[in-house]
Amino acid sequence: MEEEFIISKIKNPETKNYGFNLIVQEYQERIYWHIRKMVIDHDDADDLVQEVFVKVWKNLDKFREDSKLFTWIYRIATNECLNFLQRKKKKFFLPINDVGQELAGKLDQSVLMDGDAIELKLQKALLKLPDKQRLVFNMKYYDDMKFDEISQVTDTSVGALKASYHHAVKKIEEFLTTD
Amino acid sequence: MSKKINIEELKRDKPVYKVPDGYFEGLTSKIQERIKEEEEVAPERVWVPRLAWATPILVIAISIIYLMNVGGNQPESVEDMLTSISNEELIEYLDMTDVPTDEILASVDGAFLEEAFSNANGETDILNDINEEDLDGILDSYDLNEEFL
Repeated sequence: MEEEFIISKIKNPETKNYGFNLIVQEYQERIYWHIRKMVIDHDDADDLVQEVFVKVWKNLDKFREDSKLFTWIYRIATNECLNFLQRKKKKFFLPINDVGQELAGKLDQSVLMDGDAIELKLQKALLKLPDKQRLVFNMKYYDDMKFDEISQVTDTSVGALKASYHHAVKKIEEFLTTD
Repeated sequence: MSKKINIEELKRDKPVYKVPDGYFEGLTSKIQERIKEEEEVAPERVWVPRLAWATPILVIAISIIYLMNVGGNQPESVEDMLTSISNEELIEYLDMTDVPTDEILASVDGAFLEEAFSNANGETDILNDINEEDLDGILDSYDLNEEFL
């Protein structure tokens, strides 16, 4: 569905509810996967995806069309993920590695059984990356987003993102090869 | 030596994680339900900050009223206090103290003295009622320097 059509619906007070339902139907699955890859656990992802769309609804009037609708929603979802992981670390007074280990523990139950061993290893390697680098890697590798789109979501320069992705790939390949 | 792995070769189109069956079919209604719940709770939340402000505002208001009332009962100024003391009481007090007469006279302005004596005797010049003999006696009782004579 064209973004322009959805935007025209949400900008009209009479069709705002309808427009929002279109947003949910159009983007809920992609947003869920974006969140799930970051928080691993389904229940956490389920809670966060709902929270993201509540925020989208509450801030719908603030959407100024200076970015694409999807980029704007992605940005909200990204912030929610990072805040969630930050809270998790603070709440349990856990160092980063321990949260990584906790998420790795959830991976074993979460990754599809038909996924081969190397897939599980790749996911575990990803958890060794810092949250923001993992986020950039996911958006580029899994979501096939362009660097300038990722730049709008993360508010980071394209150059820095390219460097971040390049380092992430090197670290992961190194981990997969040696470990 | 291990073979180098290229992660681009590992790319899969299928989701990596398990999701409960039919999850996405029910997600839209879950989101709508959540928004409905949040909007029902929202009016109560509006009152929370209002109540939070009500207490300090009440305390400030009470404090202002209290201070205004206390301000009305504040001690009178020195001048007001002195006007409530009779001349006799004042003279008696000054007699009991060691304050020299010239210091007392220096601190009182002349117009006031003139008025005070005028009220007391009906005349402005107190020396009018004293004859020369009495005056000499008074002057003798004080150890005055020559410059005053």
